[in-house]
Amino acid sequence: MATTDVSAVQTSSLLDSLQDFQRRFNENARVKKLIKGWDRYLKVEGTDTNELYTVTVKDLMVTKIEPGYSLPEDDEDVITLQAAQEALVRIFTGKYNPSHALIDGALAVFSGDRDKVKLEAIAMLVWGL
Amino acid sequence: MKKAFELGFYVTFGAGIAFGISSFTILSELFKVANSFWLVVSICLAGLVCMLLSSAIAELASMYPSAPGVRTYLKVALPPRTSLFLVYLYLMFMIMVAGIESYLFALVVRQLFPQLPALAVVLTLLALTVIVNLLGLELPRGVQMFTTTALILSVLVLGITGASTHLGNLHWNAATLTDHPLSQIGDALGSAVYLFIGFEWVTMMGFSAKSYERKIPISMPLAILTNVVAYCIFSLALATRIPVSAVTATAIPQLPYFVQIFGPRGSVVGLALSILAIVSCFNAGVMGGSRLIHALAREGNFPKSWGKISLNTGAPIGGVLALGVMASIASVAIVSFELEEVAAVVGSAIVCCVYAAFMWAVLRLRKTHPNARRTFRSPLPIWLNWVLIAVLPMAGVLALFGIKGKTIQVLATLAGLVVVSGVMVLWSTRYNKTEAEMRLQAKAS
Repeated sequence: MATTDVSAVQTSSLLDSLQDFQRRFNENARVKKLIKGWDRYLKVEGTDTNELYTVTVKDLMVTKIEPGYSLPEDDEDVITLQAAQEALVRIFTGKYNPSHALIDGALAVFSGDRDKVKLEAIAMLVWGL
Repeated sequence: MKKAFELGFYVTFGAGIAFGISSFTILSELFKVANSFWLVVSICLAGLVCMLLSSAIAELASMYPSAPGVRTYLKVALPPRTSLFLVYLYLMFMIMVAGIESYLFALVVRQLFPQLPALAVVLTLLALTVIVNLLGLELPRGVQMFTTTALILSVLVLGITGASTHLGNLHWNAATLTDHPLSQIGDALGSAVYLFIGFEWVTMMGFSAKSYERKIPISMPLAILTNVVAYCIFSLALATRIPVSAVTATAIPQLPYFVQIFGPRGSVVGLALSILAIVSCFNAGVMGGSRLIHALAREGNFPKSWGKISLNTGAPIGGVLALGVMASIASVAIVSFELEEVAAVVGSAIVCCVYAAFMWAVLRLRKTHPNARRTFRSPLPIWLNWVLIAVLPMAGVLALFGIKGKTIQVLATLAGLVVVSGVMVLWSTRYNKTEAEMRLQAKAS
């Protein structure tokens, strides 16, 4: 299991951005309609800092944001997002459209095609991108 | 076991997306410009060129894993308008392929049900594909692997059983080998590249970042090699069992071949193989094309509505509908004017240029981003990259003159697509600018 230094986590801008995302995600009624039956784990990895979080989407909510990653590598419910930390922070605060980031090559998403589109749809609803 | 499944998925995906019904049409085209010996040589050479090219694509994919390949690789490496122009040409090629594949499927169906109008079959197939994609139904990986394996194994087995007892019919002799080989290869190479187009789409399918270090770079040449073997054996089988004039007289030479082997039931075999090809190639192509339109719309190059997503299924409905409408228009044109050969040859020429641009992108990125992360580096020497950058467009241009008597139609179609792409680039640039200004105004207010 990959681990992250807790002191770093407490002051991480990435963690702040994920928490901001969690709040907006959970408050948005249209997102709940979109993710019916869509329980996933988002593995968020900063490629330059090696900071790593697992965001759990369960029962129409982001229920947990945990440092590190402990699920099997080939779990089909895991969506991996990799980017430089700055890009991830901008993506999770709605300042960088994830579909633009993907096209720019700044973000890598490992998942099925439908999950990629679903993530874009979530970004559209959460931030109106 | 899981590692083998992953590699197997990549290989079958790459091989399957390249192996469509139109592959048989291209074989028929190749028989018009080369004898069976040089035709096989041309297929092998085209496969080799694509294998070399795949190492460059693998390097780009390792830099930008999971990115929408053609758009990202060209965008990061080439000037904005040039890259957009090439992407639009590639998109039009995909739309034409949808038209060609659906028309050829209709031709196969009509062998069994001649009373059905071709256009009705074409539009029904397109409508069904669009509906499946609108509903957000995704082909499971296992099914994709099964259909491609079944298709290629069937072609191999049917080719070998048909040809093995009739190899003497090839009549290869000294005259076969010395009959203007360079001219035959030159005319055939560009069209033969068409037989492998699509193998690069696997770069969007990586299961993880690690897949881009070895598995995806290996899977592309393996997929190409699989198809080289299948195409060569089937071409030889055609040459041994059917007169060349009969092969070149039809866009679906596989049907007379199967009828020759199985009698009237051969049409059913042809239909079964066509259905497998539709599942493995056509659906993945339509899905890929709609994702490309969706990405371009989200980027601001197309109207916003084309980037619309279904909030119930998460399907890119805007892209699927836009592609469906454009593919239908292309199909009507292809059915009405029987443009399938012309469209295939023009498509080959376009993709030869796009492939050359990929190689150019690798060299440019090594200069502009020398320290960027590359988990795979193409082992090709620089000079070989430059040779391929020159050879691919030349092969594409030569392919344009391969269909005797239709050169004007071919050139007119290409010119039309170039003009449309150019106009679309201008429109996109303005549309993007206006959208950006509107966003700024909205922010300011």
